[in-house]
Amino acid sequence: MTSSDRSDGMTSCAHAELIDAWVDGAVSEAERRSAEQHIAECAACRDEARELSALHELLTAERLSPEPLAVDLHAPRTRRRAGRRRAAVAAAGLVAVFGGVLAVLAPLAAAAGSAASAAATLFDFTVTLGMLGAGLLDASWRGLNVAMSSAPEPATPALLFGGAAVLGLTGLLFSLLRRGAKASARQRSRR
Amino acid sequence: MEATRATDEELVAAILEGDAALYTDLVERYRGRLINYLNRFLGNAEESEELSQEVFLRVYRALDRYNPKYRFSTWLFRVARNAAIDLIRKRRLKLVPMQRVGRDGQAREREFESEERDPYRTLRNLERRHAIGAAIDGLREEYRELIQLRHFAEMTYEEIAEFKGMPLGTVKNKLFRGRRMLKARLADYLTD
Repeated sequence: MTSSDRSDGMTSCAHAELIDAWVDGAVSEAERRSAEQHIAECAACRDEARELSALHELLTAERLSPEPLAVDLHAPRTRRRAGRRRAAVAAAGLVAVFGGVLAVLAPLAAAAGSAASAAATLFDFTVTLGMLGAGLLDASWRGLNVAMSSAPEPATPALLFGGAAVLGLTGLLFSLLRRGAKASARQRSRR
Repeated sequence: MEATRATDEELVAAILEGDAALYTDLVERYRGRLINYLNRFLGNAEESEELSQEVFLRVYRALDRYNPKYRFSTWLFRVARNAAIDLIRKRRLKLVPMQRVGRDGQAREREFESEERDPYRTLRNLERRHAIGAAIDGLREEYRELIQLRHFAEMTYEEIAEFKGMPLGTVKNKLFRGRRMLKARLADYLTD
């Protein structure tokens, strides 16, 4: 036997460190064979191994077992892509409707200030809807999902920039229209 | 990419190439270990879970700065450690007293909800938890941290060696000594 018992109840066996690593499963194949051979011969190291094993169990029992992730991080990403597509289509539809209304109103605008006022209301309504849609979309995404879905997605920026450009051009068109309507109203009042 | 076969470093490379959804695999791989590691610092499961999410988010945002020379786990746990220390510093500023003042102006102990219905078992579990916590906290820093990394973050000896910048032999020896001290301090609970 290569060990001797100490007053603190711990073995002073030269193999103690090996036995500790063996219980922890952190030994090579050769070390494992050596440890197992030694354990078979040394009663003090067998006791040591038993206690160490109990310590491992005690510490393992203290570990938390977190619930599985409630959210599948893959799935919302797909949903968000679909959501973005739907939002882009909806925005495009709104812009198209607004553009159509503008096209109808434009010829009348020079003559009728009230038409321009109606167009202004419609434009505000469209923009508000767009903002609300974007706000709702962002609100449904939090933390990591938001970060993960902000990874480069080639199609999305193109849609966003396209949408922004259409909105910008529409706004420009509207302001020109409004300016025209104001000018004609001024002319009418001078007459 | 086959996530189950890919190493952490391969996953990071694939994520940086545009497959952001693979980050989920890294999260799933480390979430439990990270929460347990943080819980040793914070002593609060809910807070640890919340902080783990923040750590994953921080790491994701900084992924392009990851140095593949080191293991992903080394980096992740380092970020986690710093985040826990920051939180503890902030928390010191708003400690909740263990006593509350009743309507009659008398100080009373705060009551905590029992986790189990069996009061004796609850008491035993609580005692054991306190004993383990006290035994670990009572270790010298050099041993305590290694015990936390091995038994709660479930790092391999090689990962700990890289994390701490220590030779593998030193890690083995310190864990051996640390466990030996813990075993002596927790002797009452090892015979149950």
